[in-house]
Amino acid sequence: MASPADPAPSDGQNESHLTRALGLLCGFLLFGLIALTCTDVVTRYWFNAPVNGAFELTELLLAALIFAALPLTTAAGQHVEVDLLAGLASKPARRVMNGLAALVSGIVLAVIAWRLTLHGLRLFEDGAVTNSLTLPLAPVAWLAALSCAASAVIALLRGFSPIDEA
Amino acid sequence: MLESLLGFAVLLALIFLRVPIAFAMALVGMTGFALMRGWPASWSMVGQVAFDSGLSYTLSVVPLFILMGNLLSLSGIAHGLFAAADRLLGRAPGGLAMASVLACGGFSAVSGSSLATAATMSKVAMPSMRRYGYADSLAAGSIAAGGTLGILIPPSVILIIYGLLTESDIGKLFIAGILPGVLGILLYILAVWVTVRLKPGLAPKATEREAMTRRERLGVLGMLALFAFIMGGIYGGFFTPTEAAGMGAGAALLLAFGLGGLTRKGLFKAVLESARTTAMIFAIIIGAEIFTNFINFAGLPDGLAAWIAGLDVNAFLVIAAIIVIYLILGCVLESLSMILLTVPIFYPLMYELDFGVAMLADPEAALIWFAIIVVVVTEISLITPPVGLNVFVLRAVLRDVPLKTVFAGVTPFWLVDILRLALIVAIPGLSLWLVGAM
Repeated sequence: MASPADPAPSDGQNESHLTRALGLLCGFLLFGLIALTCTDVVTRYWFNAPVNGAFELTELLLAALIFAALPLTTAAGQHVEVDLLAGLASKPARRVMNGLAALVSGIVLAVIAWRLTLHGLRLFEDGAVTNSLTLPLAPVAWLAALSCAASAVIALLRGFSPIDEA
Repeated sequence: MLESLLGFAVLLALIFLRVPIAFAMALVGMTGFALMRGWPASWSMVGQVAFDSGLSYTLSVVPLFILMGNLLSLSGIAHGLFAAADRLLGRAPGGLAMASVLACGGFSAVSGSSLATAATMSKVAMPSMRRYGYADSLAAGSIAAGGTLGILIPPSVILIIYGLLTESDIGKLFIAGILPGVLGILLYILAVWVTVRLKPGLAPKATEREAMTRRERLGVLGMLALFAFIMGGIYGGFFTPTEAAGMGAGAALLLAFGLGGLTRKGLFKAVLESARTTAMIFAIIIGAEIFTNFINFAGLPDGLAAWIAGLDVNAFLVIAAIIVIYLILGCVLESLSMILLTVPIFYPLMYELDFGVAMLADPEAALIWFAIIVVVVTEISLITPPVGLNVFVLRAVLRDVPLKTVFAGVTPFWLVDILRLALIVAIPGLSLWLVGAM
């Protein structure tokens, strides 16, 4: 039924190289977040010298983590769904429902990808940067757009591939 | 007003057709906004929301608290907790089920998620209960119900998101969850006791103590220290609730390494799972925000507040009506989306309603009290058929137990949950005493 209920869809093996690479990247980002917070708290409290720009680095790391992980979540079919009717539906009906779900997911992700690209362009033209470290913001929007576009393709492929008849 | 209701209807239809909730909310929100203000406005809104939600400082706690729970669930602490609880309660009739509840409550103190708590505890408590011939219904029911405490006993991802939606103090929300959480443990233990009194056959007496290794004993102490570190750090002013997640995850990593249960493969799995769950949660957050922008623009929250103010009914009656709405929604919606969709609509009422209780006169206090009510109703929805997610977590671990059996086993816990909800509404102090004492 509702699908996050499957707590272990993978056992760490049989993962594609891409999954492993993205997983490793997520690991580095997560540990980066931990290291950043701990360093900031410790140096601020005991040495009175907080990490410069910790706030905005946290935000950037978080955004990178979410969008690195989005294709992984989509590929693993881990978006939350409510499976009330699907259990009762016939096989062809279930096929139509899968298609609809994939279509909605694909459209929404594609629109978000498109808008994030444009948002990035505007940030680039404005020369938008973060407050204290003056890091450019446009690449963040573009990476997010890339991730959403990839997720849109994955969602569509998943929905219309016959293998996915669990 | 009418547009929002239409939007909700379409949303529910899509959700029933098994469209992922996050994308269903985004599609309806986007389309509704466009129909009222034109497509260009709607599209810019979508890009802005997606970008801003990804770059939210407060929400950085979400992946970190999730990672903390996943790391600790690998470290053998869960079994240590169960063994410790078994030493306390294991000899009583139904003692192993009581111990499961207590261990769930303990694990909730380092886990921000109900699903993670139930999944972790089911792996350690279920085998013991089966070995002694406990009925599957009672065994699975006690874990599914005990697991719901994960979002009430701090830290809690749901309370953080509530804090963000309503601009409440997250530290105070955490403190407010403690007493209702303890009350939950006590009432669940009572539920086990009554159930076993009525049907002694459900729970044969356990004859031996659960074995506990030295490592597990250290793990339990480490876990208690971790909880004290997180709460002490927040209230001692050493770090903010947001930073507590990073500090907690760091400490959990050290603890898991120190106890020696962490392999490279296990670590990778914990990271991958945390990352996937994070993206799943943020997809819902972004979708819900797009939908909320639409219903806010359509004037639902203001319209509702004005309408209720015009009705001139007792404030507690309004709360009761809200609870009924939550109980119904909880039957069909997943917990996080339910909170993201409804809290923005209901929380402005806390500024309008006059409860006639001194403790709730301050809207800030009323908001904290309301948070606990919302979380407890959400806990109830996690074990309510047909989409009680915790029940499905148990089912995923115990493939041979029919769903009906788990839902039957959950019933006594569901009943005491309703009692707890009534107590929390009737006695605001349960949520607010500790906040006031801080």
